[in-house]
Amino acid sequence: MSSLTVVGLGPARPGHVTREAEALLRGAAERGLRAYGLAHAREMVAQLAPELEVRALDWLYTLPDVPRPLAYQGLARLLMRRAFEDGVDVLYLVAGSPLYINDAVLYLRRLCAEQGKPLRLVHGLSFVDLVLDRVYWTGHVGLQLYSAWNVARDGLRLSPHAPALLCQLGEFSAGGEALDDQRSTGMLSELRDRLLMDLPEDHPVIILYSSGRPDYRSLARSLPLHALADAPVPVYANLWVPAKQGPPPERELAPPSDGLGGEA
Amino acid sequence: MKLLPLGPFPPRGSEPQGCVDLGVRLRDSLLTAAELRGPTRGALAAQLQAAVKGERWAEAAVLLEAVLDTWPLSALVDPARKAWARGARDATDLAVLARAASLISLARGWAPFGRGPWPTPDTETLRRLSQGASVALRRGPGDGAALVAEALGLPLSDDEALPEGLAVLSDADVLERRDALARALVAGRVRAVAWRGEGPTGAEAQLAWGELQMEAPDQEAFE
Repeated sequence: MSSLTVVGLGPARPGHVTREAEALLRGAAERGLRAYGLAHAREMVAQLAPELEVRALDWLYTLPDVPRPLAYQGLARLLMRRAFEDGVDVLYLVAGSPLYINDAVLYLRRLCAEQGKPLRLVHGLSFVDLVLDRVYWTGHVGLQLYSAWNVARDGLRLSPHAPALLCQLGEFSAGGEALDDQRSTGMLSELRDRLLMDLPEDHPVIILYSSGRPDYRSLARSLPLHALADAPVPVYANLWVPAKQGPPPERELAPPSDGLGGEA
Repeated sequence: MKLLPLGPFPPRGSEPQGCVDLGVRLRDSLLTAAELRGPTRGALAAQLQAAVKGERWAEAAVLLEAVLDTWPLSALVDPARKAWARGARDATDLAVLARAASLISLARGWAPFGRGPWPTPDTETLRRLSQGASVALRRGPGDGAALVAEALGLPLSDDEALPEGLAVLSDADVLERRDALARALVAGRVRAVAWRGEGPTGAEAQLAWGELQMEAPDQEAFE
């Protein structure tokens, strides 16, 4: 029977790919597996298993009449057809962990469950693990994890009593290019105004982001909340919002600890 | 006998039985070591000599580079042409063929054809390569069929000469054919897809068309 496997490749460097995922990639071409993924997945495969062809899914983000939710549902159905109707062993390669804010994987898991089809998940390091290295999260008062969109545009109100990690600050600013920062200030100003409803203007916040290829260094800058929209950020930047009166270390910016030396 | 057009050039494969495939004949007769070290190098050297004597230095510089390139290209062009015809997807082969084509065009004074450096042969060459043809077929936009038909005085048929392994879709049938066609593409029984008309309308048709293009093994080469 053919198989459908979702493989998390971690958020950044090949060194973050798990041994299980790497072993699967290295044997995939020989076993005739058919792989699908976006740019980050292709980059990882080019370094770890260059003989494996990865079919590019980028076209899903360019269809003029297809909103994102429909694109993700369409992708899930496509992968199901390939694996369970066409008899192909399918690998769906995703950045980070398959379980963190990935609507296509969510649709896929639910479809497989509804139809009684087997689905294998190979876990990957999440972006959360990576970005938390520039702050001191204690865990003493919990953690709120949302997308920036939830707060800026869905009306979600954060609790001021626990720190929050708001991800994908600029996701809707461009077509998925992770280092594009051209139109992020619109989202940032909406976010700032929502946060100012519960937090003071000088409340410290920290923008957490990545230098991108090839090192994917963890970059960060600390600023007062009122200055949040003063400069653009990359699409996949995250915002750390300490609790109003939480543990003091959670307000501090931690130095780089990626082992690459120097200031990132 | 049916005449298949020049483009897309350079074509893959060999000439289909019962047809004159102008693209295949042009590829196999011109993109060769014998052509480059014989007529092409001779013509370029003569043009270079004339440019030097006339002190047309800008022209001479281009010709000098072209003459020098005939030596390495003579060594590379036959293996590159054979690999390309077999269906290999090596960009270096394509680069070799492109440079060879540009030298041949320069030597013979032929204009480029379509996108890229591919040559438009003169009428005499077209006539020689097309012997026996009685009707010219189209293959798609920019294939040179109209130009060839006019040059040779042949009727241009509305029938399309579709490459083997190509499926043509439209808004009317893309959803109905998607599943079976995707299966055939994955299995390699169909190699590429083409769209008839302006492009898919509506979300489902766009998703289906994107899927089929992605799954087509030779889509990039076809496009």
